[in-house]
Amino acid sequence: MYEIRLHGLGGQGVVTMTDALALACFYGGWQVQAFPYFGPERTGAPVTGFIRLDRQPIKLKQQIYSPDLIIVLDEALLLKTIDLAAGAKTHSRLLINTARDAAAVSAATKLPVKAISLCQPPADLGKAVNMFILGQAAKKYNLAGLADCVRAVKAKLADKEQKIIAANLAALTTGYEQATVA
Amino acid sequence: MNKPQLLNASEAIALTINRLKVGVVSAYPITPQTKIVEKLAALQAAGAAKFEFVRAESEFAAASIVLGAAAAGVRSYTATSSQGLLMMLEVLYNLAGLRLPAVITCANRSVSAPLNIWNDHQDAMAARDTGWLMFFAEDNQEAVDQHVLAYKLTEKLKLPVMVNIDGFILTHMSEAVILPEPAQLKKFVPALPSAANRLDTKQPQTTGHLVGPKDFYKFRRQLMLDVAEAGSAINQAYAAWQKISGRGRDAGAAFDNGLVQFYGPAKARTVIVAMGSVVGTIKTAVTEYNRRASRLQQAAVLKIKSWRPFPTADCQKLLANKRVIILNKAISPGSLPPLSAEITAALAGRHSRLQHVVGGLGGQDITTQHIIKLLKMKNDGEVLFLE
Repeated sequence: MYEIRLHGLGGQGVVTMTDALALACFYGGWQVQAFPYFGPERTGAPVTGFIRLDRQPIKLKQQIYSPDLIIVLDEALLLKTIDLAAGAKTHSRLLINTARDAAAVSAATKLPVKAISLCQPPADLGKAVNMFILGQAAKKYNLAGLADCVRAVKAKLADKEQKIIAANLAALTTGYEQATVA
Repeated sequence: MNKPQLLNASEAIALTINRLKVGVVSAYPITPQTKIVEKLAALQAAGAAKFEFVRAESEFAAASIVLGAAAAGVRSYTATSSQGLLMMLEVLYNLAGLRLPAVITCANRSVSAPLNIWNDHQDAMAARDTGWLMFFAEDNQEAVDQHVLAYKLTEKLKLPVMVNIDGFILTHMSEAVILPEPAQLKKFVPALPSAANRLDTKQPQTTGHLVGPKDFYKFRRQLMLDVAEAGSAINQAYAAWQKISGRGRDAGAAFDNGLVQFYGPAKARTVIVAMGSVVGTIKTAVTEYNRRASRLQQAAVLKIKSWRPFPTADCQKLLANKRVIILNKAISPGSLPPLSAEITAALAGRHSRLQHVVGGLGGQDITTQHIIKLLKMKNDGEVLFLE
Protein backbone atom coordinates (compact mmCIF):
# COMPACT_ATOMS: atom_id res chain seq x y z
CA MET A 1 0.00 0.00 0.00
CA TYR A 2 1.29 3.45 -0.98
CA GLU A 3 -0.45 6.52 0.45
CA ILE A 4 -0.31 10.08 -0.85
CA ARG A 5 -1.49 13.32 0.79
CA LEU A 6 -1.85 16.49 -1.28
CA HIS A 7 -1.98 19.98 0.22
CA GLY A 8 -3.01 23.23 -1.45
CA LEU A 9 -5.24 26.24 -1.04
CA GLY A 10 -8.89 26.36 -2.11
CA GLY A 11 -9.00 27.36 -5.81
CA GLN A 12 -5.58 25.90 -6.72
CA GLY A 13 -7.06 22.67 -8.07
CA VAL A 14 -6.04 20.22 -5.36
CA VAL A 15 -9.20 18.18 -5.86
CA THR A 16 -8.77 18.12 -9.67
CA MET A 17 -5.13 17.14 -9.27
CA THR A 18 -6.01 14.40 -6.78
CA ASP A 19 -8.64 13.02 -9.16
CA ALA A 20 -6.38 13.24 -12.23
CA LEU A 21 -3.35 11.67 -10.53
CA ALA A 22 -5.54 8.90 -9.13
CA LEU A 23 -7.03 8.28 -12.57
CA ALA A 24 -3.59 8.19 -14.21
CA CYS A 25 -2.46 5.58 -11.65
CA PHE A 26 -5.70 3.65 -12.26
CA TYR A 27 -5.02 3.62 -16.02
CA GLY A 28 -1.54 2.34 -15.21
CA GLY A 29 -2.97 -0.73 -13.49
CA TRP A 30 -2.96 0.31 -9.82
CA GLN A 31 -5.87 -0.40 -7.49
CA VAL A 32 -6.83 3.11 -6.48
CA GLN A 33 -8.82 4.92 -3.81
CA ALA A 34 -9.03 8.72 -3.86
CA PHE A 35 -10.90 11.18 -1.68
CA PRO A 36 -10.80 14.83 -0.63
CA TYR A 37 -10.73 16.07 2.94
CA PHE A 38 -14.36 15.86 3.96
CA GLY A 39 -15.08 19.41 5.00
CA PRO A 40 -16.70 22.65 3.94
CA GLU A 41 -14.95 24.15 0.89
CA ARG A 42 -13.79 27.78 0.96
CA THR A 43 -11.60 29.60 -1.55
CA GLY A 44 -8.19 30.31 -0.07
CA ALA A 45 -8.51 27.88 2.83
CA PRO A 46 -6.15 24.89 3.09
CA VAL A 47 -7.45 21.90 1.07
CA THR A 48 -6.25 18.31 1.34
CA GLY A 49 -6.59 15.38 -1.04
CA PHE A 50 -5.75 11.70 -0.47
CA ILE A 51 -4.79 8.79 -2.72
CA ARG A 52 -4.23 5.13 -1.81
CA LEU A 53 -2.50 2.81 -4.27
CA ASP A 54 -2.07 -0.94 -4.01
CA ARG A 55 -1.71 -4.03 -6.15
CA GLN A 56 -4.56 -5.70 -4.20
CA PRO A 57 -8.15 -4.39 -4.02
CA ILE A 58 -8.33 -1.78 -1.23
CA LYS A 59 -10.99 -2.49 1.41
CA LEU A 60 -9.65 -0.07 4.01
CA LYS A 61 -11.91 2.98 4.43
CA GLN A 62 -10.11 4.93 7.15
CA GLN A 63 -8.44 8.26 6.46
CA ILE A 64 -4.71 8.49 5.63
CA TYR A 65 -2.54 9.21 8.67
CA SER A 66 0.97 8.11 7.61
CA PRO A 67 1.51 9.14 3.98
CA ASP A 68 4.41 7.78 1.95
CA LEU A 69 4.34 10.91 -0.20
CA ILE A 70 3.27 14.44 0.66
CA ILE A 71 2.70 16.88 -2.20
CA VAL A 72 2.44 20.61 -1.46
CA LEU A 73 1.15 22.99 -4.14
CA ASP A 74 1.96 26.28 -2.43
CA GLU A 75 4.82 27.30 -0.14
CA ALA A 76 2.43 29.64 1.67
CA LEU A 77 1.27 26.46 3.43
CA LEU A 78 4.62 26.39 5.23
CA LEU A 79 3.45 29.45 7.11
CA LYS A 80 0.04 28.05 8.00
CA THR A 81 -0.75 26.32 11.21
CA ILE A 82 -1.19 22.92 9.53
CA ASP A 83 1.57 20.37 10.03
CA LEU A 84 2.64 19.33 6.51
CA ALA A 85 4.82 16.55 7.90
CA ALA A 86 2.11 15.06 10.11
CA GLY A 87 2.36 11.26 10.20
CA ALA A 88 5.50 11.16 8.03
CA LYS A 89 7.49 7.92 8.30
CA THR A 90 11.26 7.62 7.96
CA HIS A 91 10.99 6.84 4.25
CA SER A 92 8.21 9.39 3.48
CA ARG A 93 8.92 11.95 0.76
CA LEU A 94 7.84 15.57 0.29
CA LEU A 95 7.43 17.29 -3.08
CA ILE A 96 6.88 21.01 -2.67
CA ASN A 97 6.36 23.96 -5.00
CA THR A 98 8.71 26.53 -3.53
CA ALA A 99 11.46 29.02 -4.34
CA ARG A 100 13.18 28.24 -1.04
CA ASP A 101 15.97 25.70 -0.71
CA ALA A 102 15.67 22.26 0.86
CA ALA A 103 17.33 23.41 4.08
CA ALA A 104 14.67 26.08 4.60
CA VAL A 105 11.86 23.60 3.88
CA SER A 106 13.50 21.12 6.23
CA ALA A 107 13.66 23.75 8.97
CA ALA A 108 9.97 24.59 8.48
CA THR A 109 8.68 21.02 8.23
CA LYS A 110 11.22 19.13 10.41
CA LEU A 111 11.59 16.63 7.56
CA PRO A 112 15.15 15.54 6.66
CA VAL A 113 16.67 17.30 3.64
CA LYS A 114 17.03 14.00 1.79
CA ALA A 115 13.25 13.48 1.96
CA ILE A 116 12.56 16.80 0.25
CA SER A 117 12.20 17.45 -3.48
CA LEU A 118 11.66 20.98 -4.71
CA CYS A 119 9.80 21.95 -7.82
CA GLN A 120 9.37 25.36 -9.34
CA PRO A 121 6.84 25.65 -12.12
CA PRO A 122 7.55 28.24 -14.84
CA ALA A 123 5.95 31.59 -14.01
CA ASP A 124 3.60 31.59 -17.02
CA LEU A 125 1.51 28.52 -16.12
CA GLY A 126 -1.36 30.41 -14.52
CA LYS A 127 -3.87 28.00 -12.97
CA ALA A 128 -2.17 24.94 -14.50
CA VAL A 129 0.52 24.82 -11.78
CA ASN A 130 -1.22 21.77 -10.34
CA MET A 131 -0.74 19.89 -13.61
CA PHE A 132 2.97 20.73 -13.73
CA ILE A 133 3.32 19.28 -10.22
CA LEU A 134 1.22 16.26 -11.19
CA GLY A 135 3.69 15.55 -14.02
CA GLN A 136 6.63 15.97 -11.67
CA ALA A 137 5.19 13.63 -9.03
CA ALA A 138 4.09 10.99 -11.54
CA LYS A 139 7.60 10.59 -12.97
CA LYS A 140 9.71 11.32 -9.89
CA TYR A 141 8.00 8.67 -7.76
CA ASN A 142 7.24 6.27 -10.61
CA LEU A 143 3.47 6.55 -10.09
CA ALA A 144 2.23 6.84 -13.68
CA GLY A 145 3.48 7.18 -17.25
CA LEU A 146 3.03 10.36 -19.30
CA ALA A 147 0.46 8.80 -21.65
CA ASP A 148 -1.73 7.75 -18.69
CA CYS A 149 -1.38 11.23 -17.17
CA VAL A 150 -2.43 12.88 -20.44
CA ARG A 151 -5.42 10.56 -20.78
CA ALA A 152 -6.44 11.25 -17.16
CA VAL A 153 -6.17 15.02 -17.46
CA LYS A 154 -8.17 14.97 -20.71
CA ALA A 155 -10.88 12.90 -18.98
CA LYS A 156 -11.02 15.18 -15.93
CA LEU A 157 -11.11 18.40 -17.97
CA ALA A 158 -13.44 17.07 -20.68
CA ASP A 159 -16.02 19.80 -20.08
CA LYS A 160 -13.48 22.67 -20.33
CA GLU A 161 -12.59 24.81 -23.37
CA GLN A 162 -9.96 23.47 -25.78
CA LYS A 163 -7.60 26.32 -24.89
CA ILE A 164 -7.69 25.46 -21.19
CA ILE A 165 -7.20 21.75 -21.87
CA ALA A 166 -4.20 22.48 -24.10
CA ALA A 167 -2.59 24.74 -21.47
CA ASN A 168 -3.04 22.07 -18.79
CA LEU A 169 -1.62 19.33 -20.98
CA ALA A 170 1.38 21.54 -21.83
CA ALA A 171 2.01 22.19 -18.11
CA LEU A 172 1.67 18.48 -17.35
CA THR A 173 4.09 17.49 -20.11
CA THR A 174 6.66 20.12 -19.10
CA GLY A 175 6.44 19.00 -15.48
CA TYR A 176 6.84 15.36 -16.46
CA GLU A 177 9.76 15.93 -18.81
CA GLN A 178 11.66 18.17 -16.39
CA ALA A 179 11.36 15.72 -13.48
CA THR A 180 14.16 13.42 -12.47
CA VAL A 181 13.39 10.04 -10.97
CA ALA A 182 13.81 10.24 -7.19
CA MET B 1 -17.39 -7.48 -20.69
CA ASN B 2 -17.85 -4.24 -18.72
CA LYS B 3 -14.68 -2.49 -17.74
CA PRO B 4 -14.09 -1.05 -14.29
CA GLN B 5 -14.11 2.75 -14.08
CA LEU B 6 -12.73 5.01 -11.36
CA LEU B 7 -15.87 6.62 -9.90
CA ASN B 8 -17.07 7.98 -6.59
CA ALA B 9 -20.30 6.44 -5.29
CA SER B 10 -22.31 9.55 -6.21
CA GLU B 11 -21.31 9.42 -9.89
CA ALA B 12 -21.67 5.64 -10.01
CA ILE B 13 -25.17 5.74 -8.51
CA ALA B 14 -26.32 8.59 -10.76
CA LEU B 15 -25.09 6.76 -13.88
CA THR B 16 -26.82 3.58 -12.71
CA ILE B 17 -30.10 5.38 -11.98
CA ASN B 18 -30.00 6.83 -15.50
CA ARG B 19 -29.37 3.41 -17.03
CA LEU B 20 -32.34 2.06 -15.05
CA LYS B 21 -34.48 4.38 -17.18
CA VAL B 22 -36.28 6.11 -14.32
CA GLY B 23 -39.05 8.46 -15.45
CA VAL B 24 -38.96 11.02 -12.65
CA VAL B 25 -36.16 12.30 -10.43
CA SER B 26 -37.07 14.84 -7.80
CA ALA B 27 -34.72 16.14 -5.15
CA TYR B 28 -33.67 18.95 -2.87
CA PRO B 29 -29.93 19.39 -2.27
CA ILE B 30 -28.28 18.57 1.06
CA THR B 31 -24.68 17.69 1.93
CA PRO B 32 -23.39 14.98 1.36
CA GLN B 33 -26.10 13.80 -1.07
CA THR B 34 -25.51 16.75 -3.42
CA LYS B 35 -23.10 15.11 -5.86
CA ILE B 36 -25.68 12.45 -6.77
CA VAL B 37 -28.39 14.87 -7.84
CA GLU B 38 -25.86 17.24 -9.42
CA LYS B 39 -24.69 14.39 -11.64
CA LEU B 40 -28.27 13.43 -12.50
CA ALA B 41 -29.08 17.06 -13.32
CA ALA B 42 -25.92 17.29 -15.47
CA LEU B 43 -26.87 14.13 -17.39
CA GLN B 44 -30.32 15.56 -17.98
CA ALA B 45 -29.00 18.98 -19.03
CA ALA B 46 -26.59 17.33 -21.48
CA GLY B 47 -29.46 15.45 -23.13
CA ALA B 48 -28.04 12.13 -21.92
CA ALA B 49 -31.10 11.30 -19.81
CA LYS B 50 -34.79 10.85 -20.55
CA PHE B 51 -36.20 11.38 -17.05
CA GLU B 52 -38.00 14.47 -15.91
CA PHE B 53 -35.97 16.27 -13.24
CA VAL B 54 -38.22 18.12 -10.81
CA ARG B 55 -36.41 20.55 -8.54
CA ALA B 56 -38.43 20.52 -5.35
CA GLU B 57 -38.74 23.30 -2.77
CA SER B 58 -38.05 20.89 0.11
CA GLU B 59 -37.44 17.23 0.82
CA PHE B 60 -41.08 16.87 1.81
CA ALA B 61 -42.02 18.01 -1.70
CA ALA B 62 -39.37 15.82 -3.37
CA ALA B 63 -40.69 12.70 -1.63
CA SER B 64 -44.29 13.73 -2.41
CA ILE B 65 -43.43 14.17 -6.10
CA VAL B 66 -41.87 10.70 -6.08
CA LEU B 67 -45.05 9.38 -4.42
CA GLY B 68 -47.22 11.01 -7.08
CA ALA B 69 -45.06 9.68 -9.90
CA ALA B 70 -45.08 6.18 -8.41
CA ALA B 71 -48.86 6.30 -8.01
CA ALA B 72 -49.09 7.21 -11.70
CA GLY B 73 -47.04 4.13 -12.55
CA VAL B 74 -43.70 5.86 -13.25
CA ARG B 75 -40.32 4.54 -12.07
CA SER B 76 -39.01 7.27 -9.78
CA TYR B 77 -36.04 8.24 -7.63
CA THR B 78 -34.83 10.67 -5.00
CA ALA B 79 -31.82 11.03 -2.73
CA THR B 80 -31.25 12.82 0.55
CA SER B 81 -29.36 12.88 3.86
CA SER B 82 -29.86 13.63 7.53
CA GLN B 83 -32.40 16.42 8.20
CA GLY B 84 -33.62 15.96 4.63
CA LEU B 85 -34.58 12.37 5.36
CA LEU B 86 -36.36 13.47 8.53
CA MET B 87 -38.32 16.00 6.51
CA MET B 88 -39.37 13.19 4.12
CA LEU B 89 -40.44 10.92 6.94
CA GLU B 90 -44.19 11.48 6.75
CA VAL B 91 -44.13 10.70 3.03
CA LEU B 92 -41.94 7.63 3.55
CA TYR B 93 -44.62 6.11 5.79
CA ASN B 94 -47.20 6.90 3.12
CA LEU B 95 -45.18 5.34 0.29
CA ALA B 96 -44.86 2.09 2.24
CA GLY B 97 -48.46 2.13 3.50
CA LEU B 98 -49.78 2.73 -0.01
CA ARG B 99 -47.53 -0.09 -1.25
CA LEU B 100 -45.96 2.09 -3.93
CA PRO B 101 -42.65 1.23 -5.58
CA ALA B 102 -39.92 3.84 -5.02
CA VAL B 103 -36.19 3.97 -4.44
CA ILE B 104 -34.29 6.49 -2.36
CA THR B 105 -30.59 6.84 -1.69
CA CYS B 106 -29.75 8.04 1.79
CA ALA B 107 -26.20 9.43 1.89
CA ASN B 108 -25.95 8.83 5.62
CA ARG B 109 -25.12 11.78 7.83
CA SER B 110 -25.56 12.63 11.49
CA VAL B 111 -28.66 14.45 12.69
CA SER B 112 -28.50 17.89 14.37
CA ALA B 113 -28.00 19.20 17.02
CA PRO B 114 -25.14 19.82 17.39
CA LEU B 115 -24.79 20.67 13.69
CA ASN B 116 -22.49 18.25 11.89
CA ILE B 117 -22.32 17.31 8.20
CA TRP B 118 -20.36 14.08 8.53
CA ASN B 119 -21.29 10.42 8.50
CA ASP B 120 -23.11 8.18 10.91
CA HIS B 121 -26.29 6.09 10.69
CA GLN B 122 -28.62 8.10 12.91
CA ASP B 123 -30.67 9.46 10.00
CA ALA B 124 -31.51 6.00 8.65
CA MET B 125 -32.60 4.82 12.10
CA ALA B 126 -35.40 7.40 12.03
CA ALA B 127 -36.87 5.58 9.02
CA ARG B 128 -36.54 2.15 10.62
CA ASP B 129 -40.25 1.55 11.21
CA THR B 130 -41.63 3.04 8.00
CA GLY B 131 -42.05 -0.29 6.21
CA TRP B 132 -39.25 0.38 3.71
CA LEU B 133 -36.67 -2.24 2.84
CA MET B 134 -33.32 -0.76 3.95
CA PHE B 135 -29.93 -1.77 2.59
CA PHE B 136 -26.44 -0.63 3.62
CA ALA B 137 -23.49 -0.68 1.18
CA GLU B 138 -19.85 -1.36 2.07
CA ASP B 139 -18.27 0.09 -1.08
CA ASN B 140 -19.12 1.80 -4.35
CA GLN B 141 -19.69 -1.45 -6.24
CA GLU B 142 -22.11 -2.74 -3.63
CA ALA B 143 -23.86 0.65 -3.68
CA VAL B 144 -24.42 0.33 -7.44
CA ASP B 145 -25.58 -3.27 -7.23
CA GLN B 146 -27.96 -2.54 -4.33
CA HIS B 147 -29.68 0.12 -6.44
CA VAL B 148 -30.23 -2.42 -9.20
CA LEU B 149 -31.66 -4.86 -6.64
CA ALA B 150 -33.75 -2.05 -5.16
CA TYR B 151 -35.67 -1.46 -8.40
CA LYS B 152 -36.09 -5.18 -9.00
CA LEU B 153 -37.50 -5.66 -5.50
CA THR B 154 -39.60 -2.53 -5.20
CA GLU B 155 -41.47 -3.39 -8.39
CA LYS B 156 -41.84 -7.03 -7.48
CA LEU B 157 -42.87 -6.60 -3.84
CA LYS B 158 -44.59 -3.19 -4.00
CA LEU B 159 -42.43 -2.12 -1.08
CA PRO B 160 -40.22 0.98 -1.29
CA VAL B 161 -36.45 0.50 -0.90
CA MET B 162 -33.82 2.75 0.69
CA VAL B 163 -30.15 2.23 -0.15
CA ASN B 164 -27.86 3.67 2.52
CA ILE B 165 -24.37 4.78 1.57
CA ASP B 166 -22.02 6.43 4.02
CA GLY B 167 -21.84 10.17 3.39
CA PHE B 168 -18.40 11.43 2.28
CA ILE B 169 -16.75 8.04 2.95
CA LEU B 170 -18.45 6.62 -0.16
CA THR B 171 -20.19 9.59 -1.80
CA HIS B 172 -16.89 11.46 -2.24
CA MET B 173 -14.48 8.49 -2.54
CA SER B 174 -13.38 7.18 -5.95
CA GLU B 175 -12.57 3.51 -6.53
CA ALA B 176 -12.98 0.94 -9.30
CA VAL B 177 -16.63 0.30 -10.16
CA ILE B 178 -18.21 -1.82 -12.88
CA LEU B 179 -21.43 -0.20 -14.02
CA PRO B 180 -24.29 -2.46 -15.07
CA GLU B 181 -24.71 -2.66 -18.84
CA PRO B 182 -28.06 -1.52 -20.30
CA ALA B 183 -28.61 -5.02 -21.73
CA GLN B 184 -28.09 -6.61 -18.30
CA LEU B 185 -30.55 -4.16 -16.76
CA LYS B 186 -33.10 -4.72 -19.50
CA LYS B 187 -33.03 -8.40 -18.67
CA PHE B 188 -33.06 -8.01 -14.89
CA VAL B 189 -35.29 -4.94 -14.41
CA PRO B 190 -37.50 -4.70 -17.50
CA ALA B 191 -39.50 -1.54 -18.17
CA LEU B 192 -42.45 -1.05 -15.83
CA PRO B 193 -45.62 -2.65 -17.12
CA SER B 194 -48.58 -0.27 -17.14
CA ALA B 195 -49.88 -0.94 -13.66
CA ALA B 196 -53.54 -1.84 -13.36
CA ASN B 197 -54.08 0.24 -10.23
CA ARG B 198 -52.21 3.37 -11.25
CA LEU B 199 -53.81 6.78 -11.05
CA ASP B 200 -55.36 7.59 -14.38
CA THR B 201 -57.67 10.56 -15.09
CA LYS B 202 -59.52 8.45 -17.66
CA GLN B 203 -60.40 5.87 -15.03
CA PRO B 204 -60.75 7.81 -11.79
CA GLN B 205 -60.21 5.90 -8.57
CA THR B 206 -59.10 6.64 -5.03
CA THR B 207 -55.85 5.87 -3.30
CA GLY B 208 -55.01 6.52 0.33
CA HIS B 209 -58.54 6.75 1.69
CA LEU B 210 -59.62 6.54 5.33
CA VAL B 211 -59.54 3.09 6.95
CA GLY B 212 -61.38 2.41 10.21
CA PRO B 213 -60.23 0.43 13.26
CA LYS B 214 -61.90 -2.75 11.99
CA ASP B 215 -59.57 -2.96 8.99
CA PHE B 216 -56.57 -0.75 9.81
CA TYR B 217 -54.64 -3.46 11.66
CA LYS B 218 -55.00 -5.77 8.66
CA PHE B 219 -53.04 -3.32 6.50
CA ARG B 220 -50.39 -2.91 9.19
CA ARG B 221 -50.11 -6.65 9.77
CA GLN B 222 -49.83 -7.28 6.06
CA LEU B 223 -47.02 -4.70 5.77
CA MET B 224 -45.22 -6.30 8.70
CA LEU B 225 -45.52 -9.79 7.22
CA ASP B 226 -44.52 -8.72 3.72
CA VAL B 227 -41.38 -6.90 4.87
CA ALA B 228 -40.47 -9.83 7.13
CA GLU B 229 -40.90 -12.25 4.22
CA ALA B 230 -39.01 -10.08 1.74
CA GLY B 231 -35.77 -11.82 2.78
CA SER B 232 -36.20 -14.74 0.39
CA ALA B 233 -37.01 -12.41 -2.52
CA ILE B 234 -33.90 -10.35 -1.68
CA ASN B 235 -31.73 -13.48 -1.65
CA GLN B 236 -33.21 -14.69 -4.95
CA ALA B 237 -32.73 -11.32 -6.63
CA TYR B 238 -29.18 -11.09 -5.25
CA ALA B 239 -28.26 -14.53 -6.62
CA ALA B 240 -29.83 -13.75 -10.00
CA TRP B 241 -28.00 -10.42 -10.28
CA GLN B 242 -24.69 -12.03 -9.25
CA LYS B 243 -25.17 -14.40 -12.17
CA ILE B 244 -26.14 -11.75 -14.73
CA SER B 245 -23.48 -9.25 -13.62
CA GLY B 246 -20.77 -11.90 -13.20
CA ARG B 247 -19.88 -10.30 -9.88
CA GLY B 248 -17.95 -12.86 -7.84
CA ARG B 249 -18.22 -13.34 -4.10
CA ASP B 250 -15.58 -11.55 -1.99
CA ALA B 251 -12.74 -14.09 -1.80
CA GLY B 252 -12.55 -13.93 2.01
CA ALA B 253 -16.25 -14.53 2.58
CA ALA B 254 -17.26 -17.82 4.19
CA PHE B 255 -20.97 -17.06 3.73
CA ASP B 256 -22.74 -14.59 1.51
CA ASN B 257 -26.33 -13.85 0.49
CA GLY B 258 -28.43 -10.78 -0.19
CA LEU B 259 -28.90 -10.04 3.51
CA VAL B 260 -25.51 -10.69 5.13
CA GLN B 261 -21.91 -11.55 4.44
CA PHE B 262 -19.68 -13.44 6.87
CA TYR B 263 -16.06 -12.56 6.14
CA GLY B 264 -13.21 -14.48 7.72
CA PRO B 265 -12.77 -18.05 8.98
CA ALA B 266 -16.12 -19.78 9.60
CA LYS B 267 -14.79 -21.11 12.92
CA ALA B 268 -13.77 -17.66 14.20
CA ARG B 269 -14.54 -17.32 17.92
CA THR B 270 -15.06 -13.55 17.77
CA VAL B 271 -17.31 -11.85 15.26
CA ILE B 272 -17.72 -8.10 14.77
CA VAL B 273 -21.16 -7.11 13.46
CA ALA B 274 -21.38 -3.88 11.48
CA MET B 275 -23.06 -2.13 8.56
CA GLY B 276 -21.81 0.09 5.74
CA SER B 277 -18.34 1.26 4.75
CA VAL B 278 -16.69 0.55 8.11
CA VAL B 279 -16.95 -3.14 7.23
CA GLY B 280 -14.08 -2.62 4.74
CA THR B 281 -11.85 -1.29 7.52
CA ILE B 282 -12.89 -4.15 9.81
CA LYS B 283 -12.07 -6.70 7.08
CA THR B 284 -8.59 -5.19 6.76
CA ALA B 285 -8.11 -5.19 10.54
CA VAL B 286 -9.37 -8.75 11.00
CA THR B 287 -7.09 -10.06 8.24
CA GLU B 288 -4.11 -8.40 9.91
CA TYR B 289 -5.17 -9.57 13.38
CA ASN B 290 -5.73 -13.20 12.30
CA ARG B 291 -2.21 -13.46 10.89
CA ARG B 292 -0.81 -13.16 14.43
CA ALA B 293 -3.67 -14.69 16.39
CA SER B 294 -3.82 -18.32 17.46
CA ARG B 295 -6.42 -20.66 16.01
CA LEU B 296 -8.60 -20.09 19.06
CA GLN B 297 -8.40 -16.32 18.73
CA GLN B 298 -9.42 -15.98 15.07
CA ALA B 299 -11.87 -13.20 14.28
CA ALA B 300 -14.40 -12.49 11.53
CA VAL B 301 -16.89 -9.82 10.55
CA LEU B 302 -20.60 -10.17 9.88
CA LYS B 303 -21.78 -7.49 7.48
CA ILE B 304 -25.46 -6.65 7.76
CA LYS B 305 -26.49 -5.68 4.22
CA SER B 306 -30.22 -5.63 4.91
CA TRP B 307 -31.30 -3.65 7.96
CA ARG B 308 -34.97 -4.11 7.04
CA PRO B 309 -35.90 -6.89 6.89
CA PHE B 310 -33.40 -7.71 9.64
CA PRO B 311 -31.64 -11.03 8.91
CA THR B 312 -32.50 -12.62 12.26
CA ALA B 313 -32.19 -16.24 11.10
CA ASP B 314 -28.79 -15.65 9.47
CA CYS B 315 -27.54 -13.93 12.63
CA GLN B 316 -28.72 -16.85 14.76
CA LYS B 317 -26.96 -19.33 12.49
CA LEU B 318 -23.71 -17.37 12.18
CA LEU B 319 -23.34 -15.89 15.68
CA ALA B 320 -24.54 -18.63 18.06
CA ASN B 321 -21.98 -19.42 20.80
CA LYS B 322 -19.61 -16.70 19.58
CA ARG B 323 -18.12 -13.68 21.24
CA VAL B 324 -19.93 -10.89 19.37
CA ILE B 325 -18.84 -7.26 19.13
CA ILE B 326 -21.61 -5.05 17.76
CA LEU B 327 -20.43 -1.80 16.21
CA ASN B 328 -23.21 0.80 16.14
CA LYS B 329 -23.00 4.08 14.22
CA ALA B 330 -26.15 5.39 15.92
CA ILE B 331 -27.65 5.55 19.39
CA SER B 332 -31.11 5.05 20.86
CA PRO B 333 -31.10 7.11 24.05
CA GLY B 334 -32.73 5.19 26.88
CA SER B 335 -32.10 1.76 25.36
CA LEU B 336 -29.41 -0.26 23.59
CA PRO B 337 -28.08 1.24 20.34
CA PRO B 338 -30.19 0.07 17.35
CA LEU B 339 -27.96 -2.66 15.90
CA SER B 340 -27.18 -3.96 19.39
CA ALA B 341 -30.89 -4.19 20.17
CA GLU B 342 -31.51 -6.28 17.04
CA ILE B 343 -28.60 -8.65 17.72
CA THR B 344 -29.52 -8.99 21.39
CA ALA B 345 -33.07 -9.95 20.46
CA ALA B 346 -31.92 -12.34 17.72
CA LEU B 347 -29.43 -14.14 20.00
CA ALA B 348 -31.55 -14.43 23.15
CA GLY B 349 -30.79 -17.81 24.73
CA ARG B 350 -28.04 -18.71 22.25
CA HIS B 351 -25.02 -18.45 24.56
CA SER B 352 -23.34 -15.65 22.66
CA ARG B 353 -21.35 -13.10 24.65
CA LEU B 354 -22.10 -9.56 23.50
CA GLN B 355 -20.12 -6.35 23.58
CA HIS B 356 -21.96 -3.21 22.50
CA VAL B 357 -19.84 -0.50 20.88
CA VAL B 358 -20.77 2.92 19.54
CA GLY B 359 -18.38 4.57 17.11
CA GLY B 360 -18.08 6.68 14.01
CA LEU B 361 -20.61 9.26 15.18
CA GLY B 362 -20.57 12.55 13.27
CA GLY B 363 -17.65 11.48 11.08
CA GLN B 364 -15.38 10.05 13.79
CA ASP B 365 -12.90 7.98 11.78
CA ILE B 366 -12.92 4.31 12.78
CA THR B 367 -9.46 2.85 12.19
CA THR B 368 -7.94 -0.63 12.13
CA GLN B 369 -6.32 0.30 15.47
CA HIS B 370 -9.76 0.78 17.02
CA ILE B 371 -10.83 -2.63 15.71
CA ILE B 372 -7.75 -4.48 16.91
CA LYS B 373 -8.11 -2.89 20.34
CA LEU B 374 -11.73 -4.12 20.47
CA LEU B 375 -10.64 -7.63 19.50
CA LYS B 376 -8.05 -7.70 22.28
CA MET B 377 -10.26 -6.44 25.08
CA LYS B 378 -12.63 -8.49 27.25
CA ASN B 379 -16.39 -8.12 26.88
CA ASP B 380 -17.98 -6.29 29.76
CA GLY B 381 -21.58 -6.04 28.56
CA GLU B 382 -21.60 -2.24 28.86
CA VAL B 383 -22.03 0.16 25.92
CA LEU B 384 -18.54 1.30 25.00
CA PHE B 385 -17.91 4.51 23.05
CA LEU B 386 -14.85 4.54 20.79
CA GLU B 387 -12.38 7.33 21.50
